[in-house]
Amino acid sequence: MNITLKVWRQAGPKDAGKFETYQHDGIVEEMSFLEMLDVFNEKLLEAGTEPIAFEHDCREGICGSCGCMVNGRAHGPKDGATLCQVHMRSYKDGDTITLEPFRAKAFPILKDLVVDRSAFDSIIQAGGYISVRTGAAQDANMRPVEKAIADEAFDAATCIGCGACVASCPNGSASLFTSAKIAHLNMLPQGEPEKYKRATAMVTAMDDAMFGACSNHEECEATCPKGIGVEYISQMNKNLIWGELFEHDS
Amino acid sequence: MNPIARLYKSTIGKKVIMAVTGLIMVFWLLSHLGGNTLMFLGQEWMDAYAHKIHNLGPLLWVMRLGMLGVIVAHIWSAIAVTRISWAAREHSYKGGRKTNVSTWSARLMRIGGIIIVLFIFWHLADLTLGWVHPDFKMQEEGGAAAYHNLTVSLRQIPVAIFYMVSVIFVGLHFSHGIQSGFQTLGLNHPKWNGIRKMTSWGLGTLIAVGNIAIVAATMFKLIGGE
Ligand code: HEM
Ligand code: FES
Repeated sequence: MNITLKVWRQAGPKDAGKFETYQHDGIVEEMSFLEMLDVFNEKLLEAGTEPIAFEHDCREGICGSCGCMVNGRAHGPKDGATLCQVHMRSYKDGDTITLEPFRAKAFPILKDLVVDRSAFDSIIQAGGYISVRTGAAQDANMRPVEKAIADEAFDAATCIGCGACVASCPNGSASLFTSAKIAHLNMLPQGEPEKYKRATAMVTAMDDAMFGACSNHEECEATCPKGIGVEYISQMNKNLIWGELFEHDS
Repeated sequence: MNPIARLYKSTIGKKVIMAVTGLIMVFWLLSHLGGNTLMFLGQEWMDAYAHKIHNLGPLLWVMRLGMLGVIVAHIWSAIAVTRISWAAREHSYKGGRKTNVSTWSARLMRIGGIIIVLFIFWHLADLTLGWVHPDFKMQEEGGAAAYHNLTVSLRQIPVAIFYMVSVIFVGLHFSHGIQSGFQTLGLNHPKWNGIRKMTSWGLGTLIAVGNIAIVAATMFKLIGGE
């Protein structure tokens, strides 16, 4: 199959960047989306031009490295899938595919489709951990956790930090990411004692990193490759409100 | 530091202020609509109601100033969060960003907000202060004021149309705002989310249709006779 690729090319962080249009033929539908790009980069290299820079690592939807806007949608056309899990059978001969990096003030473009997502690290560094020493591992099931809560905490913990939520948000907000990272700790006995402190610290870091404010459009939930829901945002707000109003010492 | 000021520092805190003040305004506007449906029962009912409100005396002023504070806090926070979000979206998508689930009412919150502010100014200048009213009667000068003022004002076609367009934006603002406000305040539960969203749309429709009915009925002389 033949595809027209419209790709955002930007040599470096300071470069203005622009769309380049290419023809890419000989694609078979069993190719993954990233393989299609690999093959195209071979062609570019053979022609002596700079290949398209894009991020990837695991290529099985678990590391959170890959992703860009594909025809205006984060991670492409499939619900609940990262870009590396999309295959060319989702497209047909003659299609045009537009590739643009995830954009946000907090995600500066490094090159082509690669953006710097270290703003997420600053949020994790602010409180995405447990600071109590728990000692050696206890016997399993010493502290029973209700099944429903364990499941919800696990769902939040499936966040791979890809940044699709920020990219899809009309406000460039990182609320879904931050709330998932808060929730998977705050819901479990290990994280519960520090839950208010954690919510305040991580929300402050999120704001400091220049992410936008949530307007509840729910675009993040719609494009999250892990299907994480906005109920975690509500829960984060609850933790923050309660903590700031009633649990603040000093 | 005062806990409210501490909360306000974060984007979420600003949204909490908007949600609380917004929901107060929702409650207030529903009562306002309830009172104004007395227009359908005729002059006696409407003016008696207006009289009762005026006789509240100092309490009326407490309510007026309270609402003013609520509106100012809502707009103040709206401007603050909008500026933060615009800064975060400084680099827009050159190839466009697809909208997947976001609703028109959600996307019209900011434009709608501006139209509502303009409407509030006009509405107060028209029916509270009488500055832009062709034949304004103060409440004190006899019982007939409210009913008379409203019928005269809404018989002006451009004014009636402005009122109707504005309440459509209020309805849209309700439709996203109520569900959004509850979500912002942490009141999201899978069991209640359907009801939360339906109530939001339902009250949005009610506030728009109810107010339009009063305006249209007056404009078409179904209220107030010739
Ligand atoms: C006076 C002019 C008004 C302006 C300028 C205004 C502006 C806004 C804006 C921009 C938002 C969205 C904020 C965001 O999420 O990014 C909003 C939300 C909201 N507005 Fe208004 N609004 C106004 C009047 C009203 C009125 C009259 C009501 C009540 C009927 C109301 C109720 C709400 C509610 C409940 C929200 C949702 C808050 C949340 O998402 O947490 N607003 N307003
Ligand atoms: S490359 Fe790891 S999630 Fe796509």
